[in-house]
Amino acid sequence: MQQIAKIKQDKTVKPRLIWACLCVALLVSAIYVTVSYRLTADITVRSELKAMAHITSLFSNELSQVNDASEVDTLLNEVLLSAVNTPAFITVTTAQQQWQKNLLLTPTERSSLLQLIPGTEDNADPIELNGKTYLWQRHQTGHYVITFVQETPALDITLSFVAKRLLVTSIIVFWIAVWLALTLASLIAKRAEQVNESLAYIATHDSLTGLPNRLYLIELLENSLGPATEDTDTPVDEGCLLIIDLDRFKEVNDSFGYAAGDTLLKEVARRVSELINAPAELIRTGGDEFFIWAPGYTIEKAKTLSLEIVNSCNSPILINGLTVNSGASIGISHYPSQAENTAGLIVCADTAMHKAKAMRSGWQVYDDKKIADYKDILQLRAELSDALEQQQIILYYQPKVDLASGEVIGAEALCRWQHPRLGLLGPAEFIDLIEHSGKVQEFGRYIIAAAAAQASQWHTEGLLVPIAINLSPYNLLDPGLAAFIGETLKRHRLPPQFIEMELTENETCINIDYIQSALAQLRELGVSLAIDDFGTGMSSLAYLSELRVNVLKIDRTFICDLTTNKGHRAIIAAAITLSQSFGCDMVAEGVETQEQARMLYDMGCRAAQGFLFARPMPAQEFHALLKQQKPQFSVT
Amino acid sequence: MALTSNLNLLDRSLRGVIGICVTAFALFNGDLIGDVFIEVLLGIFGLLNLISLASGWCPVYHLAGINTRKH
Repeated sequence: MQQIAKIKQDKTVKPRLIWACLCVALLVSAIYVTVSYRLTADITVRSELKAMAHITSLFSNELSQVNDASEVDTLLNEVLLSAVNTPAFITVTTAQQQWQKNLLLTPTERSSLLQLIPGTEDNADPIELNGKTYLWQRHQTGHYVITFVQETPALDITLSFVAKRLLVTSIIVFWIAVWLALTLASLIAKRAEQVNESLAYIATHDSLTGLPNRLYLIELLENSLGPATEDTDTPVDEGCLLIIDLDRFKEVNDSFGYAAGDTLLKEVARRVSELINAPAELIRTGGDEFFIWAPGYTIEKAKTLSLEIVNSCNSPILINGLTVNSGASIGISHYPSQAENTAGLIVCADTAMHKAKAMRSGWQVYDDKKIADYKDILQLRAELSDALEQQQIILYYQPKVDLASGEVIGAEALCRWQHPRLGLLGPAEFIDLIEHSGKVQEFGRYIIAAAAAQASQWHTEGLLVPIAINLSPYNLLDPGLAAFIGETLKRHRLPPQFIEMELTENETCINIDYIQSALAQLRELGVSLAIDDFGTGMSSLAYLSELRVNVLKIDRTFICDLTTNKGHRAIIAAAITLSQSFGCDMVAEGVETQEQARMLYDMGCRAAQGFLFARPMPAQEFHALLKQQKPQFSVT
Repeated sequence: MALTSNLNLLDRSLRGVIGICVTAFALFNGDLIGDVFIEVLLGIFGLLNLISLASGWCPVYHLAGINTRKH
């Protein structure tokens, strides 16, 4: 996890740019020198040629006035000696005769030069012979053709003439180019560095509150925990990790909109930031969850800080002209006494936070006795998929009994995990894991399939017992659920009334519109619906009338002290009346004594389940129970 | 824009030597070059280096954000 460092460490840009700029500078200098030299050379050759053309035309003028062929020789001599001081020759040819005059040239050189002169008129290109350069002119006047060839020192002179200036200017040009290279390279490298830094900042910071994010937290913890190595630069001896979760963020979001939620988050971030001092850091990992990593903090110090934060979050925040107090639950875990690595520390703090939330205690330190727990949790989470594949999750059945006749009128399917290592685990130990593992849909379907298979098996044997399945609220959000149930019923040739879906009251109100349509689909299939734990949820009676369920199951909290608590008795009586008015059945949960059963019966309740009759049992035992002579239980 | 020094000693003295040599060459050996324009160029080049020597500050370093002086 050194991604951020990696982003920042890209230092290769600058040297590369400098090299590139230097190469360009060299190239530019070279081109400049070459072009200047060629330009000067060209101009020199041209002026030289012009001078030669001058001589040639002069000579041809003279020649046109000559009548005697013998005078041509003298004329040649005069011209050559007077006008030329470098090796040269002139030939004059007519159709019949040829005259020629040499100056400082051997006859062989002359003849090879003559051969080298091309027939064309273009004489701008010098001729090379034996390392010397020659220029030539050809002129025709009357019947004379004059060819004038002359060695030229022009190029050498040019070279020596321009060399000094070129040298000095190219040094200056190169100097300017080097500066340009340095400036450009530095500017670009600086820019790239800025971009990299802002990228690293964006990657590690939350855009809303400007606080560091999860990536930063992980990096920070990885760097801070454990022994000092090359990667970890600032190891600490101890420290506390705090997880802050706002209690009423969702409500604010839902009722005032996202803008209000954002305002709340910003305000909370600001308040908490003011409470903590460096090196402690506040981090927002998403949603309404904040982390504080406080190196050097003892648990006592962390508790004090938590108290301050909770108080601060409980003081009202003004949103849309309304005062809202978000409330916060804080979980604290301590390094190294509770966990020694990043994952462990976070899990511990998270567990503590959830506990704080459940107990509404504001803050909670991770319980030392459960140090090993999070490892178990992690392992269980890993083993979940195996459990589903290998069918380790099995169903236990608890009978529902008719209070009048004592007969079993139904069964509630309860899941158990037949764990190969830990033995039989109750739902409390793994349902949470499933709901947070992304396997909810798979799990729900697995349970439905298992219950349907069991119900159909009993059905074929003539044991007509409907099985009730507890559905997670997340299952109701599965758009293919109704189709799956319909298909399963069809495959097992099971009449739909033998499957019942139990929903807890809280669940039924998370997304009432959607869930209503999901429940309507289930009702269309003919599956009966029950509200579980009735009376303890938060849903209104209006919802209840809209959900149109078939069964109300009154919660065990009202039953357990039924004989002594007048208030609970009144609630039960009301619930019974309610169920009768809605035209649905009523089941009492958690009946443990004969007295409770009798009382419920007297109040008008017709069905009950609880330890008085039977605990949840494996399918075979339940089967045996059903096979007994009826009635299976004596109630009254 | 304050002229805060951005050259270290070596950089500064190297520039000083180059500046003095080049300026002197341009001033006293101009005949060797044979071109006034180039003489002027050399003169500017030398002068800039002499400014760097005097102030310990290089405009190009300043623009590029380079600093060879240790803090």
